[in-house]
Amino acid sequence: MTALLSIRDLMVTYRRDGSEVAALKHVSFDVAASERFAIIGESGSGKSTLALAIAGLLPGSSKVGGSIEWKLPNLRLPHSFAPPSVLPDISPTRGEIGSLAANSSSATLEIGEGGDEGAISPQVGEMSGRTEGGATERRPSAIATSHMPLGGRDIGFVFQDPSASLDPVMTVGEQIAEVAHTHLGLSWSQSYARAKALLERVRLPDPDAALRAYPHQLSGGQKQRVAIAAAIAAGPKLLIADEATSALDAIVQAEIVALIRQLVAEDGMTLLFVSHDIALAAELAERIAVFRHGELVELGATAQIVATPRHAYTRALLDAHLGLDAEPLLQQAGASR
Amino acid sequence: MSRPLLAVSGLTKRYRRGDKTIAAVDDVSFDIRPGETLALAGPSGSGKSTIARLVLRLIEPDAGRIEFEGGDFLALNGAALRARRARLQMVFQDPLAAFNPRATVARVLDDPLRIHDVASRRERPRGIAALLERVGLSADLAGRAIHEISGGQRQRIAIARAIATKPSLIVLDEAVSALDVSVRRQILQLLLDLQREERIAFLFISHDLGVISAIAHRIVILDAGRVAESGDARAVIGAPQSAIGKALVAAAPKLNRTSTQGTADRQ
Repeated sequence: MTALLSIRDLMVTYRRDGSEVAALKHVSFDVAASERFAIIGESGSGKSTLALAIAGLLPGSSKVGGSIEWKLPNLRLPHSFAPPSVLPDISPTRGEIGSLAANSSSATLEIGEGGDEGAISPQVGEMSGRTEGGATERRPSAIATSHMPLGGRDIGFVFQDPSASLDPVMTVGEQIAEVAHTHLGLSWSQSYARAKALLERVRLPDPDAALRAYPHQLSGGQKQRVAIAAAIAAGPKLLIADEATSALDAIVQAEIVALIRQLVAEDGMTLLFVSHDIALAAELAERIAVFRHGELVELGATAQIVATPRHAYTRALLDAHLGLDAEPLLQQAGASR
Repeated sequence: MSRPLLAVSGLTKRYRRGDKTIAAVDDVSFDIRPGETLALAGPSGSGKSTIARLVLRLIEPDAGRIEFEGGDFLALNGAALRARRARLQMVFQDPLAAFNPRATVARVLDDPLRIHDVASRRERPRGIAALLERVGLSADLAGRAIHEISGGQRQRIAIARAIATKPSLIVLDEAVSALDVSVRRQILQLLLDLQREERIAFLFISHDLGVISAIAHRIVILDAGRVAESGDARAVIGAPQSAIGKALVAAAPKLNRTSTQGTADRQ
């Protein structure tokens, strides 16, 4: 198994109401190339922080330690892009950021040097803002990384709420085409052709009409299909889905999970599936990492985690799952008609 | 079989969208007996939440009848409606959206006691402490603001507020959907304890068949505003007959704790 990324001793601390809150504590693990890897946890477990850290989308005010090492085959050179950190910092509250990047000055430097190429187009920054839903408010955190991959191109990110990650005043076609245009250097007409092909791949009914549609004209499930199309438009190596099906009803959720499974298999992508639902993750992932209070509690093959969990917390999560065959609480409570 | 507590018949609600009229709820009938849990299930847009709002009379139907506690609920107005509403309470998915986030817990629980004259001004502090204890919370929580407490505690407060007026029916609209699994189980257990001790009936709206099979007596599965099938909850979920029932059961994530899940590519 070749690792796509190696995370070592990752620590993320947020500042909240004047005090520091550790969101991730000494987290270390590898993700193999082309595997389907699930990150499981309840609220406050740090699972979304981890996904954001891997994607380089942590808020600038967070304090980061440790390393995320990428082993991307034929990774395009890092200086071919401008991360949002090069863009002018307009928020006064972010003044503190620089001083926090203590143990990773070299990586920050490496990113900063990209500016020398003069290839910084503001559109690049805007673009990642659209595909990653809110990346405009974030900046790559100062994690020591080797060959920093680029969000939108090397990493596709699908968030829980497609209404928030899609631009409401851009057509679906423009949003997907922009990713292809920006990251693949395709002409606009080629990019639109690719957008249409992607809408077919994510099985949106009537892709021609969908190209011209605005997000509000689509259902929640359709919007999430569009968000997935935009996330994979540049052919990323890694697809991160952070609670990407949690806001959808059960039937649409199952369809989107099947779609993600198919796209990941067809394109040989690595999948990072972040979820609170261990049963859903078990249906999709080959390995599961269980997080609690910012710590990696247990990591193993899905069958092992589900059938013979080693940690009491994993067992508790499994026991708390209410499946269709679950013991009815009703009888335990002794309620009668 | 006891008399129905709530009897809904021919309930219909239409919305206009452009030139078209869409029936969000289309000729729906069901009833709930005292102390019973009836689940409403179905995909997004099937009419579950519209039915909840109709039953609560937050919106008015275009056709149909709602009988509650033996009377025509739709005929009630003004003071009579307000009085009857004390018997019909609700808990929603997001208690942070349902409450003023800056209000204290005591304030949130004081409102129903005051408005529905459940307790006198002198008795109300004790009433609030009793309600908190009833839902498994410490009386110390009374002074805290809603936004300061956890999601599970907030949903307990929502339940405490719902039971403050001694209702016979509580409408729960995705009331446990946003909670962590471990918290969800505790809240479901709390609901069942309250039901057993006070014989409260629940209209339990959920998209989660696992939760429904754990706590509901009967189920109504909706599809595009109509009843697709109904019956004993575990029997229907165990062997659904309608297309939508089969689709919902097939879509529910299954946790197979004995075999080799996830290793095989089921593509």
